[in-house]
Amino acid sequence: MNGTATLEARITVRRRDFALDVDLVIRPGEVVLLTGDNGAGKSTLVRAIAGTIPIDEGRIVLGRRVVDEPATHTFVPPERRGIGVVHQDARPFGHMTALDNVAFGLRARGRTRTRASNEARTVLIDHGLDGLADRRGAQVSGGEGRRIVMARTLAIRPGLLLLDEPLSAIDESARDALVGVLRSVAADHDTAILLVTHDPEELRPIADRRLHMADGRLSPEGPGPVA
Amino acid sequence: MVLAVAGVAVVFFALPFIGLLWRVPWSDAWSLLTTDSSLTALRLSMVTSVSATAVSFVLGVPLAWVLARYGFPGRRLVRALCLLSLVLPPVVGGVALFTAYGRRGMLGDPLFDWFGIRLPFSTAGVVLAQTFIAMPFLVLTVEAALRSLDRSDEDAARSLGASKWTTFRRVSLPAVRPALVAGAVLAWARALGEFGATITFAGNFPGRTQTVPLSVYLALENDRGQALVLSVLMIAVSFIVLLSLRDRWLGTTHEASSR
Repeated sequence: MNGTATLEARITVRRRDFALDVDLVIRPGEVVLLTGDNGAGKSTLVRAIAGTIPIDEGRIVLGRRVVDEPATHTFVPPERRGIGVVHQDARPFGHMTALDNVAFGLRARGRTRTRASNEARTVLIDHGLDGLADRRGAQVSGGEGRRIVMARTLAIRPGLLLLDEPLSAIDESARDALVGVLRSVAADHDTAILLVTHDPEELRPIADRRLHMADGRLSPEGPGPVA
Repeated sequence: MVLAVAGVAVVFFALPFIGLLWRVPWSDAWSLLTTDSSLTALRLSMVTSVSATAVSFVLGVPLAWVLARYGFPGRRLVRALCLLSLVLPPVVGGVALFTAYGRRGMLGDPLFDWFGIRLPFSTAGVVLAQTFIAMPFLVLTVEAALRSLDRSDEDAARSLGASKWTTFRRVSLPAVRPALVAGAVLAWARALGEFGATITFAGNFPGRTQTVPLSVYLALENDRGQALVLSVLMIAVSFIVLLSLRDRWLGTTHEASSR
C-alpha cells in the first residue's frame, strides 16, 4: 500500500524502572527475528515503531518519511504509518464477524462498504478462512482468531509488518497455517518483517537476521552459541 | 452465628417492603393508580427520567472515555467533581443548582436575559436536577468498562488505519455495549427516583415538576392509599431493574470486553 521502505529507527523510551535504547535498520523485504526475555523491551519497541507509544528521544524514519521525532515535534499517528501490527495475544474484534474484521482496515483506507467486503472475502479465501466469514470474533478459537488477525493485517498490504509473538498460545494447526503464511510473505520480499518470538528455531528458515534484546538494548544474534 | 446476623439483615431490608405491601389497599389499587393526579405524575416522571437519561448518555459517555483514557493533570480532581453528586445529599445538589441556574444564579440570569429560558420550577429544571444526580451512575459504569477493555484492540484498529474517532465508534463503544446499557438503565432508575434535588430546584407543581416521588410525598398527607400504590409501583420498577442488572454492575463489567 505505501510500498516498501527502509525503516531507520533510533529510539529512546524511558519509563520509571526501564529504558529502551535502540538503533535499528530494517531494509525492504528483510525478515528480522527478535528474541529476548520477558520485560526486555520487545513489545515496547514494537509499540514505539507502530506509533501506539511515542518515543522520548531519537527518530523513526520510514522510507523518506519521518514518523516520530520529538526534537522537531513530529509524530505521525499509527493510522497514517501504514505499518501492519499483530500484537501479543491478538484476537479479532469480538463484536465483528471475521469478514468485517478483515474489511475494517480496508474500509478505514477509504474503500466503499461493498468493495471492502468483496476484497475481504477474497482475503479470507486466500487464507483458507472463508468458512469462518460470518462467525463473530468472540466465537472463534484462539488459533482461528490469530489467523483472522494475520489476514486482516496483511489485507492492508503493509510495507512493514510488526509481529509480537504471533505463534504463542495457539494450536498446532493454526501454527502451521501461520508459519505457511509467514513463509509466503517472506518469499515475496514485498514486506519487511520484525518478528518477536521466544522460539526462533521454527522461523529460522525465513529469517535474514536475528537480534537479541536485553535490558532495552539490541545485540546481533542470540546469546551463547548459535547452532 | 454469621448466618443469623445475615438473616437479621435480610429481615431488616425485607420488612419495610412487606409492611408496605400489607397496607396497600389492593382493591382500590387500579383506580388509585389511574387517578388524574397519579397519571399526570407518572407521565411527567417518564418524560423527565428518559430525557435525563438521554442527556446523561450524550454527555456522560465522552466524559467516561476521557476519564478512562486520558492522563492529564488534575484528572482525579475532575473525576471527583463529576461524581460528587453521587455522595452528596440531593437537597444540597438542588441548592447548588439553584445558585448556578437559579433566577439570580451565575448562569440563570444570562439564560433568561438572552434566551428567555427559566430553568427553576420548570420541567426542564426537573430534567436538569435528575441529570445532575443520575449521570454519575452512567459515568462510573462506562468508565470501569472502558478501563477493563483490552487496549490492544484499539491499538490494532489504529494500526489498521482507523482514526481515533472511528476506533471509538466502531471498536471501543460496541465492545462496552453491555456497560452502556447497564449505565443507562441505572441512571434512568436513579432519575426516576430523584426527589431531593428536584423538589429543591424545581419545586412541586403538578403536571410541571411534580414527579412520582414528589407526589408520593405529597399524597402521604392527604391520600395515604395513593401514596402506597405509587410506592409499590416504584419498588416494582426498581426491583426489576436490579434483577436484570445484578451481574453487570456488581463488579464484573469486563464481560463487556470481546474476550
